[in-house]
Amino acid sequence: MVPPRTSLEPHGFDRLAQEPMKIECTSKDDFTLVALDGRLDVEGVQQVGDAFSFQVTVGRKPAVVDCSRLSFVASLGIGLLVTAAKALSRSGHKLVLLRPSPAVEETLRTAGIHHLMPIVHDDAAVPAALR
Amino acid sequence: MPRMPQRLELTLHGFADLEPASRRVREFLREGGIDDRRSYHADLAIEEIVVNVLRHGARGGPKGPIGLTVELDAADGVLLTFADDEHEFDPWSLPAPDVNAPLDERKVGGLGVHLVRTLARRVAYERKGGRNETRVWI
Repeated sequence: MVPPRTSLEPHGFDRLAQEPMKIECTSKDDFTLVALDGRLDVEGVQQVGDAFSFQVTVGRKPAVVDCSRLSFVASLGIGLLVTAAKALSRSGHKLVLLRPSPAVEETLRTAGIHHLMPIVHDDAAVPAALR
Repeated sequence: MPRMPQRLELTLHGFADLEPASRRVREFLREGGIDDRRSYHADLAIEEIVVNVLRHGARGGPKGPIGLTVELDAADGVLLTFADDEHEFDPWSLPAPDVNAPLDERKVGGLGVHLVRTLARRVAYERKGGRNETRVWI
């Protein structure tokens, strides 16, 4: 049963509603698929940062980050993506971002991320982006 | 019909207040009829400015609360005002990062202020009565 959202701190903040950031990894033949679900803000990076960095690099193959359920990304989250892309590039592999929302993509492009890793919106575009 | 100006005032005492505060602001903006894109930009500005103050503001001195005021104007604009009593620091004086640098030369960090400055309509900073007052118009 979902608890009612009535718990208020003295200064009025409701601390119950936020779902924690989730990460799901699948090892494919040619790449590692990492799906992020939630807000990649300071709290989200604390929750999944270590797991993300590990999962992206442990397979020693390219990585595709499914951003379709990523509702928000801040600079700390972008830093996480850049660090992972740098680690992969040292072994000659790419990191590809798949299906970010328009708002998330606008943030990524404002940070120049599209110069560092491909952003694609179609599964069929992934193989070419990984090359 | 133009909307009447509205105002929300919050006080953040640390990182634990950031997510619930940004959620409260998102609700306030939704109720105020602000579109999703502008609300996202406000959310981003709150995250970046507050994290900046909490991570870099206090250098051995007392860490006071951060005041956040959100105001809606009649033209669907959003004004965010952040006030803190840390040492004098103008975030808009920071140099812009090179967002065109290749991966091996790309620095991790320094992006937050750039994102806010680029996506906002206008930004400003003032040292007022011993406090930093940072403004972002979305």
